[in-house]
This record gives sequence, C-alpha cells and structure tokens, in this order.
Amino acid sequence: MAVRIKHRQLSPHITIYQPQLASTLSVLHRTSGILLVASVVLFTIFVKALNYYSSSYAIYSFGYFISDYLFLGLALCIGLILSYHMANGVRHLIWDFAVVGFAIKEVFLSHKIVLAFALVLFLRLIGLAVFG
Amino acid sequence: MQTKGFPHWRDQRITAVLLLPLFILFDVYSAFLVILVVALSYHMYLGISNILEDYVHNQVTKKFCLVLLRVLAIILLKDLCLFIL
Repeated sequence: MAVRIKHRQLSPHITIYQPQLASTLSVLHRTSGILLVASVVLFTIFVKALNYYSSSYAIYSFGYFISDYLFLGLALCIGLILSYHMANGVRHLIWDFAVVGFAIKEVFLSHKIVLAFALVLFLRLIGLAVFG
Repeated sequence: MQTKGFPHWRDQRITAVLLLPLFILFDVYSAFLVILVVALSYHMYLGISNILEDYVHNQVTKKFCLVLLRVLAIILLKDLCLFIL
C-alpha cells in the first residue's frame, strides 16, 4: 500500500523536557549497546585488514605500534562503556526475575547503585591494566 | 507471519546471564573464550534487532535489514572464532 503520508510539523517534545536521570540512564544503556557492537565490528575488520596486508612492512610495523599504545586507550574507553552496560544490564535482570526495585524510592536508589557498580568495574579494569 | 517474541526475550536474558561471569573469567579456561564469543555475537544480534525493529518504520526495509543483520552476525562469529583460535 503506497499512501504517502504528509508529515506535519511536531511541537517540541524531547528538546524542551528536562532530562531525568532515569531516562538518561535508559538511553545510555541502548547507546552503549550500539557503541559496543560497533567497536566489536571495527576491531574484527581491523584485525582482518592487518592480517590481509601483513606482507607490507609499513602496515606490519604500524600494527605493532598500535597494539602497544593506542589499543590500551581504546580498550579502556570500551571498558568504561562495557562497565556501564553490564551494571545497567544487571539492574534489568533484577527487574525481570526478582520482585524488588519497582517502587520509585527503590528506583532512585538503584540509579546510584548502578553508577557505583559501573565505577567499581571500571576501576577494577584500570587496576588490571596498570598492575597486570 | 510468525512473530517469535518470547524466545527473543528469553535468549537475550540467558546470554546476558552467561556473559556476566565470562567477561571476568574468560582467560581461566580456553573453552570460556569460545563460549564468550558465541554468546556475545548472539547477544549482539538480539540487541541490534531490537533497535532495528524500533526505529525502522518501513516494513520492507526493516525485514531486509534484519536478514542482513543475521548474515552479519554469522560472519562476525566466524571471524572472531578465527581470531581466537
């Protein structure tokens, strides 16, 4: 059915509503998921490209240099995003399988727990990277 | 058209629960890394198909993108397995 719907102008909605912590964390959960998928796909393409062009010494030495320094910074950024996604994912799993955490006071408390848990995971990742 | 809502939801939760310890303990056994890669690519496929179903409104484009996504997930799984082995 090919009916062209004329899209009329909308009044402003998300551009004027004050961002709440709950909505921001939920949007961030989905955005971090997209970024993590993009990072896995880009990492796979990067490794395959290095493997394909490894006969060229310039690209081989570039890959060697990249894997020492730049990868550490990128891995820590991806680790931060992964820490938040895991922490908020745990909260989603608790909401799905337990019966706690639905009252609004409990939700506000769970925001702080999620952010603290994400920070703990990220600090543990930094500790592993720095101290082996 | 058969819409499979509950297996999608259930598999997303199962892979999430499986992935939680695997990100921490993936270097204890070599089998953990393989399970991590398989569960991760399936979890990524389920999550991104949620996003495509939400934000792509044209029915033809949505179905096409979902099929392409499934192909991409299989290719990603093959490449990650080749990388870790």
